[in-house]
Amino acid sequence: MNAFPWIIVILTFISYLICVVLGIRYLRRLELPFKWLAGFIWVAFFMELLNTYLINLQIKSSASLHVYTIVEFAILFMVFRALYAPLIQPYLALATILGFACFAGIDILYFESLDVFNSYARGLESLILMLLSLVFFFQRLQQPGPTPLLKQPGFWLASGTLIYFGVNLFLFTMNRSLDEKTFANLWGLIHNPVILTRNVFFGVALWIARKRMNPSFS
Amino acid sequence: MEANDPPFFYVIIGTMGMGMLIASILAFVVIHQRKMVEQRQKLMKQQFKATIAAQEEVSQRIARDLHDDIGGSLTTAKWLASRIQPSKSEDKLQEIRGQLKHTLGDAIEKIRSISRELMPKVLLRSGLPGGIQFLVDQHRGLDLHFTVNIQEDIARFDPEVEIALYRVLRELMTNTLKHADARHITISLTVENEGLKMTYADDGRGFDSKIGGHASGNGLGLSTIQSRLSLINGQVDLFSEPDKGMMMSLLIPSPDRFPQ
Repeated sequence: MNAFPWIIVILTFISYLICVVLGIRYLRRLELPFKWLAGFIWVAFFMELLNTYLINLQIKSSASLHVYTIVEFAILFMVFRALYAPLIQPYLALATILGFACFAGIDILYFESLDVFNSYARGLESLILMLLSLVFFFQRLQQPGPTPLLKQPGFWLASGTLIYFGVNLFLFTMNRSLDEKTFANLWGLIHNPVILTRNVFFGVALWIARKRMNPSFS
Repeated sequence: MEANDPPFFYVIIGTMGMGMLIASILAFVVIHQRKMVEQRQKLMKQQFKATIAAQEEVSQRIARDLHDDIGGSLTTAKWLASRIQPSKSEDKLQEIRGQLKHTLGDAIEKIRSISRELMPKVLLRSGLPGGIQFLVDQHRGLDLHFTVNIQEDIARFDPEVEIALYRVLRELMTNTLKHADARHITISLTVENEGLKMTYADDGRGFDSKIGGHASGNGLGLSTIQSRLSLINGQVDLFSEPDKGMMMSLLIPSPDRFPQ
């Protein structure tokens, strides 16, 4: 078997570990959006460990993925809500998260059971979070601020999110057209390198955010 | 085989397309923002230079006034004082004392005049309306007609705001006198929803505001005005065309008010 996927898997675990350590080490210094981001990384890391464990036991992990999608969406939405405060009002955030959870629930009940990949919920999640990421870039084009983008933790956060959900969008939404083996191969080929890239971006965001007392992201 | 499977290709092509699109977006945003930051830094540098130049100009004018006017008067006074000698007749002494008194009075008046020009008491006492009126009065008798519209019961604002607007107005009047050959100047001061607004217009020879002219003078005038206003978060809009005069609108959004 080609060693490439395993190298990526190992590097992904290392990137998770680095992000988790950064999150714990600097949690008190981080502003709210990055506290949420640190929380998200812990949850994602836990999910990765759980998935690996389930795969080793030859158990399908799609049920946990259904739950994880809702949790992931809720946390990342809160990350962006904190980043764009007061643009997204609390009731709007709550309504969006509950609305998404309902959509995911309906998806499970009527369209994609716990045994299959939740392409509808993943697709919608990807589109919403891509849109929220793009808002950051749009804001920065409108009001560039004095700090170069590469020194803004918000840039790395929005870029990581956009890359992860944008690049995986076709994989998430078209998986029903693929047979299991092809999907597993594409997952290794696309999803794992992208998740590694995302973790690197999120790690840089945490690293930059730790130095800032008031990271108003500009 | 995967390679013959159309959905497989769709995913690969779609993913590659999205990857390239995202990479392009990120590259565009980073490069564009960097350019804007550089432009902003350049502008700030220009404004800083303009502020320094304006301060230098004021210092030079004060030095010149002190040297030419007050220095001259005091030198004359010293010379007159040296002529007060017991050997002189009482009439002559009386005459010298008179000249000395007149010369010293003249020097005192010149000091007052410089002081008023730097910071007129009326601006501190009556705020912008008083300051505007003071400047208008200073320029009367120069074959210029003024129309001044000041909103009634206008509040007092942060002294920084009042002083900045006063200095900008003085700069504009100087530019009009030096370069515009205008006959009529209109000044208005109002408080609107957007903030404190002052407009200044003359009917002089105007210029193409896209390429600069008498409001930009030697390149310092407009920069100085922008520099002064940037310190109080003000905005400048300039409209002018050749032979159609000029109009400048100054807006200070939400200036701090001071109790009367």
